[in-house]
Amino acid sequence: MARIEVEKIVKRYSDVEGVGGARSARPALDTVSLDIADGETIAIVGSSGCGKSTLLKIVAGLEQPDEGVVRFDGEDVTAVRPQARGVGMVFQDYALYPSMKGKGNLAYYFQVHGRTEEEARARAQETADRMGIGFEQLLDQSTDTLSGGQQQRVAIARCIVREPRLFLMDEPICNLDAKLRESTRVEIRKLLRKFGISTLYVTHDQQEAVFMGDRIAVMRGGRIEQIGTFDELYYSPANLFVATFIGSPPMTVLPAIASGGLLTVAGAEWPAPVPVPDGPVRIGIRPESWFTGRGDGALMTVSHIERIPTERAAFVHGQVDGVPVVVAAPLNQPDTAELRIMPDMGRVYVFAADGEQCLHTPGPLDLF
Amino acid sequence: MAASQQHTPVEEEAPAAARPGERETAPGPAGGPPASTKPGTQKPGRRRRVETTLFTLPAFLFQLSWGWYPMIMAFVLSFTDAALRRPVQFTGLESYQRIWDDPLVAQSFRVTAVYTVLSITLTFFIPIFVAILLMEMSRRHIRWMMLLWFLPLSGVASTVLFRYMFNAQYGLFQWVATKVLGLPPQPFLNSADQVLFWLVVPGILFFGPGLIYMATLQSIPASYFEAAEIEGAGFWRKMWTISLPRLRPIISMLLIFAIIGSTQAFEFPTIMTGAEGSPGGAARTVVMYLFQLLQQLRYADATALGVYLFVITMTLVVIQRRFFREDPDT
Amino acid sequence: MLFPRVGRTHPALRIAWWATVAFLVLGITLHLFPFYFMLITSFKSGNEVLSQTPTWWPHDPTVAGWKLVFDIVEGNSAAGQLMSEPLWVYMWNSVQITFWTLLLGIPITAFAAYANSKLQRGRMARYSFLFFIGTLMMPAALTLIPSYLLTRNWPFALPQAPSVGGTELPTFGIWNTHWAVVLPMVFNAFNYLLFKGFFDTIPDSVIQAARVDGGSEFNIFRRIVLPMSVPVFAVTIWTSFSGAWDQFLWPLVVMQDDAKMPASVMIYQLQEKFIQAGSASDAEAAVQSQQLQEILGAGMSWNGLMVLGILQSIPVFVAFIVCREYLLRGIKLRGLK
Repeated sequence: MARIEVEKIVKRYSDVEGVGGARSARPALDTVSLDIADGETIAIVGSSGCGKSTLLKIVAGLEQPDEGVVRFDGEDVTAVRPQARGVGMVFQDYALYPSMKGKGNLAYYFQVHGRTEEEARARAQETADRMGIGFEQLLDQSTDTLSGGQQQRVAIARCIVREPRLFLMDEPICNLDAKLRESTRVEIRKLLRKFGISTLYVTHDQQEAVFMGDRIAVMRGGRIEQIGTFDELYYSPANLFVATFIGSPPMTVLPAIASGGLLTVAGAEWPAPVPVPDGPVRIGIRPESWFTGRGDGALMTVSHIERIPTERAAFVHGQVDGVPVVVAAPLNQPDTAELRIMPDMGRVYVFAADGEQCLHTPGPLDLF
Repeated sequence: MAASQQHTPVEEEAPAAARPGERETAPGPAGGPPASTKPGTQKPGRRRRVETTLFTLPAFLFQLSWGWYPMIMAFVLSFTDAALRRPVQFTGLESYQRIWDDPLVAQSFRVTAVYTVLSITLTFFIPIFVAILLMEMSRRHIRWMMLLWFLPLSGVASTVLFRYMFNAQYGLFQWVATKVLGLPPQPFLNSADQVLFWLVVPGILFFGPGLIYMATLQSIPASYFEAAEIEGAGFWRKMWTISLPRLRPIISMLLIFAIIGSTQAFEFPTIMTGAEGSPGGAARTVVMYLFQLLQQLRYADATALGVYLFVITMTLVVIQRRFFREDPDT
Repeated sequence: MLFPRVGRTHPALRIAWWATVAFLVLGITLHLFPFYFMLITSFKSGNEVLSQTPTWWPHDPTVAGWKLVFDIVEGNSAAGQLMSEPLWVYMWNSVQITFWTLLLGIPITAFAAYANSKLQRGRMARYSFLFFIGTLMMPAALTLIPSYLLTRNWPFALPQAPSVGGTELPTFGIWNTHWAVVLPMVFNAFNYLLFKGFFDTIPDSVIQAARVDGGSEFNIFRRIVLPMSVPVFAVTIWTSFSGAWDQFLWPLVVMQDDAKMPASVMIYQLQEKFIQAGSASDAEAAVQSQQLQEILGAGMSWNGLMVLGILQSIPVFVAFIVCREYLLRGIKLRGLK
């Protein structure tokens, strides 16, 4: 229910030791800008230490940025305290108040805002109905007797009971076990759809990000590398980092020499998908874009085959010229020591030989 | 996100001014908290600074007026005559000279040195070992064994008791010496040679800091010991490579406290041997002498003596910190 | 954890295990013996106390020691005259001093440690921490005299307040009042260290969640942090309590009136009188005052002192037993860094 704009945020932390320490050279957040449309969910994905949690805390009002502006519905809230921003936040460790029961956790917001006891109770009831079956009895338990999944549900309830303008979720499900993570993910997504509240969802798991986010922001080293839908990130990555970060198993990047419209890769010659200036380049091929068993392909030494029946596919892991390669093959791919492989040249990414610049991307797949 | 655990002081001076054109957007629809448009919302950093000050101020005032201020004044007073009934005058190093030449001071420093060495060697290491062994017991047994091991006795009560037990005629220790061990009657506290040793002995029985060691040991993850066991480490090896290194910061800290505490021993020796540290000042520690100076209203000399003691204690502490790093990983 | 879980039936391990248990039990016995000895001595008669061969239980149990001490409590018999005031006056002084030390000291120290742990950051936090624990490393003997002068002429730690233009500056003397004992003990650097160590283990996210919920920092401390911190409060209350209850030197320095002294000081002074008079024999006591002779004649010597010692120890025991459940959970020290 709010449009959030984050503009050119810079945040620096001093060195850990504090005394006399100069500011560290690299800021935790380096000119980060981000827009969240009303009701949209943006998933921020990146490896640990990339600044994604810091960004979340700045939006929440728990950290003061060194530079930049945060706006909620066009209104500058950079200097507004968190309680006045009307945000709800779910933490990685749930951060439930251990001395209170589930009910107390939900009521705290109303107590410190001077609302009446009845309102708190009514809202807690309402929230319990929304959270679904079996939630109400969690409210009467002390929080340290709850399981991880139950604590997480209480934490989400605590976050929605106040009807926030913005949800902030800091890796809310990464402490759950795999099976529960799967189902909770679906549940959160359903809740977000139901409420239609703008959400910032931080995770380190790209699959989770793909599932949760209407759009995904990929962060690295305090910068947002690219924001976009999954298809945009997958088929039109902004640079080599995004290209290799998104997609599992990851894209294979092979060095190649371009000359006269031909690419020479590991002894094989393939036609270039687009005109490429002569000289060394790198080409990226996603696992599903390989053809196997073609005579003019490159020679791949197979190390093992990972078969995934539910996806009716097998991933063949191996090497081409010392570079690790993953190839998606049919489930019945025979075990062989070597394999001739060749990319679908229409779906090849081309990168500059040095740096991360992207020279060509195949663009979205034409499915229908 | 280890990096976000330590932060800089919040920078409020960041450019927070919004462009006027973007201010006119209507507030959020109903249901959203209304507070954000309230005028005069303070910057979070500044507000927190006010609260930090309120939280810290009382302790700050007490620590300043009863901690640091007397500390600094001690140095100041030692360079004056600290005279009564007239303005204080600076006398330079006169007090230091007088204390330096005082034969009783030299004696009291010798007494304190012996007392410190005895007390550290006899009482400091046992609690560490006891705590490590206590943690071996089952959870149920730890609870009551801990209670019994560390059951405290009021300080004054223990001096009453030990004075009785150390009595040269009918004390329990005399009975043990003559009847059980068959020794000739011992003078105990009345002997200049033995008195310091017997002053330390009660400390062996009363293990104050053992609880601190136990609390620290309890926080060591069991996986450390399990990993060591799989490596084939035995009892002593596990103690040497896991328990002791983990305790190291605590041991180091408590060793400093023990050094400081025993170099300024006062109450127990005074009660056990009298204000003069009888016999013949054999139990008169530096602080006991300092107290005598105080009673004679020789304030300047007493503070000068305190400064001497301070310098020596600090030297010991600095040496200790050099040789006994707190970091468990080095 | 030093003993392996598996293979305990091995003879060597079994011997080592039982040796450990024996060592611990022996230690406990040695540690408890003084308590036992104190208790039985309080029930012995005057002669049995002074016998050359100690007895392991009172052969001639008597409550003479206890009775005499209760006379002292009331202050109306010959023994009662030993102290200028009835014993309960001194006990009440101890209670008052301890009460104010705890009431002021625990919250003030806890607030400062909490602010350092959760509100301050970076350089400021470091300097503040050093400011508060710095005095822990300094010997108290050094500050004894300035602190004493400070109680006489607050705010000047000088023998006499300085004069400006011929008039002496006004001072507040708290000397010879309970405040002179309480105020220097209000901020306790070791408790600060205990609090700080504990608050550091509270996850930041809980505090942040409460901030998002809109609690003021004080409300967060009271509603969220305080209930989580019961163990550390138990530990600090215990250390403060035993420190304040049992202190001895400082009250002796800063107070003069007997009627204001805590019980610990008076027990010491009574003991001094006994040791000079009654410890050796009745014959020696005869040389002493009529009063002491009367008391010794009534059968009180060390047994009476033991009763006083027990009375003085009871609050310390009670505090320890009340706090014991929390002691191990509340101590989360990490050294001086």
